[in-house]
Amino acid sequence: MLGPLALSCLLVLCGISASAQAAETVALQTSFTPEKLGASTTIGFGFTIGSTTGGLPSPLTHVSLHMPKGMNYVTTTLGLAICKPEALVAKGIAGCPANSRLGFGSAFVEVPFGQGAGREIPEIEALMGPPHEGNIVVLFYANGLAPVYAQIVFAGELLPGEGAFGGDLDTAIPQIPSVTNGPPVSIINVKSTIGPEHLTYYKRVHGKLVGYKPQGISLPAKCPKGGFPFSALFTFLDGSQVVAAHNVPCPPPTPHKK
Amino acid sequence: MGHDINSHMEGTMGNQSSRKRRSAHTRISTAALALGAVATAAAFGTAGAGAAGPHATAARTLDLNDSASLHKQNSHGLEVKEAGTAKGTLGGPLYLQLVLHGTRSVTAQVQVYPKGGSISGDANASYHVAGATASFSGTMTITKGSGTYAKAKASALSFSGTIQRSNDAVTVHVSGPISY
Repeated sequence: MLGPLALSCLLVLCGISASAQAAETVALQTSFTPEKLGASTTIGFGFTIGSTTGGLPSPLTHVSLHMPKGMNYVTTTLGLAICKPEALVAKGIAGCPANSRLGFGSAFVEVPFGQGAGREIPEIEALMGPPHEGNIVVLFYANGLAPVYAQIVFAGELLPGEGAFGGDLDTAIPQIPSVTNGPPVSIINVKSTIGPEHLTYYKRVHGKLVGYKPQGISLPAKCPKGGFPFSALFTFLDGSQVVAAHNVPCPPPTPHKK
Repeated sequence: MGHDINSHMEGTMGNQSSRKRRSAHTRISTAALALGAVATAAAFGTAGAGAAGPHATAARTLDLNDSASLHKQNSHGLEVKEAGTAKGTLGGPLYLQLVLHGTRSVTAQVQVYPKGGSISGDANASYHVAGATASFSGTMTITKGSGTYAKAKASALSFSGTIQRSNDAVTVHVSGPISY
């Protein structure tokens, strides 16, 4: 017999909704590139949402991504410029300075018109937004193509972490309409990065703009036992919630030079 | 090797400011001095102990108001060490060691070397990033002093500043009353 605690632990580990009516499942993936202790890195995170019944999962409304502590979230030079949400809405990514870019990714959504009606949102950009109550704000810009033709801006706020976590990227996900006044699409898969990989920033040197790679979030010099823990709480439109976790394993020790 | 910020605690202690202070004191009337001593002692909660001793000396006070522009000496992990020169009430070389905690808070150790001594303090501040600039704001407590400032005391000094995130150049401002 499983006790209540054991049962809830199993539900969390498997990323299955604890709600009796909900049927969402979530698999979280996280990574560091490069995976070198004490060095600047790019954080990769992604998740895949499924349904135990085989149908479309309920639309996602909120993600709270807990990131490991000991990482240097503040001395990074990512986000030296601020992207204003109104400029992003009006002009798209062209409305924001290059030095506000934090990362990018893509998503795959399904419209509620039957199985197989999936569409990729090939462009998701992460940008530094205006701070909110002193917290770093990450703006996400999703540029959807037909039939999910929508340019959507939403914000995640980097909150102080607790326990094993050093930061919590708290993001409300807007509902993406499948068609005008239609039901929202279901997010199936999201991949994104926060970090300098494939980013170029610019600074003026002797009057000329010079490109350079910004400093990313740095890994600590020591890896915590068991690796770097990530955890995320997913909330769905039907009210159900799912917790998913993933550890980035410790990198192999670097051989000492003689 | 990282530079040890605490090594600056071994600075020489000049006596120029001591002479100035003795000269200044001769111009103050005895009554005013006594009044000032009582007021100062009361303000720092030492009236009983200070007034009882036959050789009790009045604690001196000053309203600290110093600022400094600092450059990064080195950084390691979540620590950033900065150095520069303070200008203001005390003035002198200033060393700052910032340690970042999580996403919103910072602790700092400060050493300043005015003429005649040194003052060290610990600070706690909240930390905010806004584009190219980060700012911090909190309070500082004096933990020890040397020379003229051997008995320096203060708590809840205002401690604030900015960090240029592109190069970690720091401005820092400390203000408030201290006794010494």
